[in-house]
Amino acid sequence: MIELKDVCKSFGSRRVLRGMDLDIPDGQTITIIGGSGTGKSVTLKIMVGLLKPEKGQVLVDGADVAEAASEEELFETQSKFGFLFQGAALFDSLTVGENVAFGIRNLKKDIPDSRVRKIVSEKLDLVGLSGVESLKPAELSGGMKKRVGLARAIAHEPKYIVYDEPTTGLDPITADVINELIVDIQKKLNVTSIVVTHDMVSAYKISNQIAMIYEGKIISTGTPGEIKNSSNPYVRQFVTGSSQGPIKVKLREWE
Amino acid sequence: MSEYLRERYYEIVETLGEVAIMVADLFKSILRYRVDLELFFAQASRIGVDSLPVVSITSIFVGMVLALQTGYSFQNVFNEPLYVGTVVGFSILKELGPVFTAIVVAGRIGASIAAELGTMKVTEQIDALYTLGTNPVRYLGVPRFLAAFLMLPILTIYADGIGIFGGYLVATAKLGIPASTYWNDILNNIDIDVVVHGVLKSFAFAAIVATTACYVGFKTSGGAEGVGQATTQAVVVSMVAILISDYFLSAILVAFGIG
Repeated sequence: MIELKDVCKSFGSRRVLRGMDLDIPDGQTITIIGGSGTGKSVTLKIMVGLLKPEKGQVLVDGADVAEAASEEELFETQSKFGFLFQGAALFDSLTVGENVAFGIRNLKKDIPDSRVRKIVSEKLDLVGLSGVESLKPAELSGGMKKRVGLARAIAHEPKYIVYDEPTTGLDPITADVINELIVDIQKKLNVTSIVVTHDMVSAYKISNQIAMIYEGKIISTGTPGEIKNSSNPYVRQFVTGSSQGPIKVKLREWE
Repeated sequence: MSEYLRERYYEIVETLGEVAIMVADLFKSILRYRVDLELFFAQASRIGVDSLPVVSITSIFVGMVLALQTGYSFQNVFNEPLYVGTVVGFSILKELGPVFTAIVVAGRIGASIAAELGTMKVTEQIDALYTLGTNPVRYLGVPRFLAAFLMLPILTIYADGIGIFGGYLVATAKLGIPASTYWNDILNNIDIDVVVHGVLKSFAFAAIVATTACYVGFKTSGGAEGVGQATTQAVVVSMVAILISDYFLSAILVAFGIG
């Protein structure tokens, strides 16, 4: 279980998270929705220890990520996470196979090479790819990169999978395929998934719980059905995608 | 105005602090963990072997022009080209060999390290390394730093040789100096500590180039434009730092009687 308690984070004078509270129970898929620049990705990065909050606690199975005493301790917690980055973030100097094997080799040492190769091809199978181990990331399409990124994220068998805008930048059909993949992996691996997105179609399809973030705080949580029919004017405006409502986005930056 | 100065001051102090933390991290990684030899050799070949052609061309011409200018100048003053070998030898071994090689490597390798790490930073590959249990400073920084630190002095010694050979070509073919005179001018007047002087400086230059490029790369933000800025910054900062530190290093080494 992941618990965020009163987490604050700012960059320079910009306060991104202002006392964020969020509980993520095990075995669920929770989606965090919210506008651009409201701190969705920052929340994820704080969760896995890539960024340090100024205030508050981030408890992963009871251990505070922000207070990790040593690098080894931090890696210990991080090994519970698989992270699918927005642009997949594949290492372009390595082949697809080496990318997927990277986490296994570094997080779970002492696994013989033949076993690693077998895991790599299993995980690639799971995301619907096969025989691509020797390709370089530059030779893949956007959708394939996401699949490889996902295979890399699940390769070391993490307890939590973190998705940073998994469908952004993909065509609607590929996006839906990725959605199905997320649901499929959730079922097969029985993990806990944390998804950040502003794609409502995707959010409804994959989530058990949806949490909306606004001005650095969670303002509402609920099942997809509850969020869809929410009476909260902020949530209503966001899920219907309207420029009219309490959330003001300037038409021109100088206004 | 004072507000502006204060901000710049904070910025500089912050940068120096971050550089110090990164260098500490580098040394901690080198001392405490096994260096990945495969990565190290890949970088060593990129920094050392692949730099040979450009280092050869620059240093042979440096040696040639040095002999030419010395020969003509001394001909004007003394009516004959005296001590061409000595001047070429001293200049190349103490200054031009180490400094030119460092500057060529800063342009070639500093830029490519900064661009590579910068691109990895803006495409979140550095973050990805962290989430896969790998410290980027250890995985990317250490092999590059060590490769530069070991290869630049070797390149410098190579450049010294090529430069002196360039001087020999011009001295004998153009200035009509007998080969034996040129070599005796070098061997009789130059001690081994002159070579040591230059090589010691090249270790410091290597540390400057590698540290600057890695730091700037890891700090890159802002997409393609940011990568461009990082690359320029890595080259400009290293070159300026090489030339400034060269003066002080030379003064210190001479004070200690080396060269």
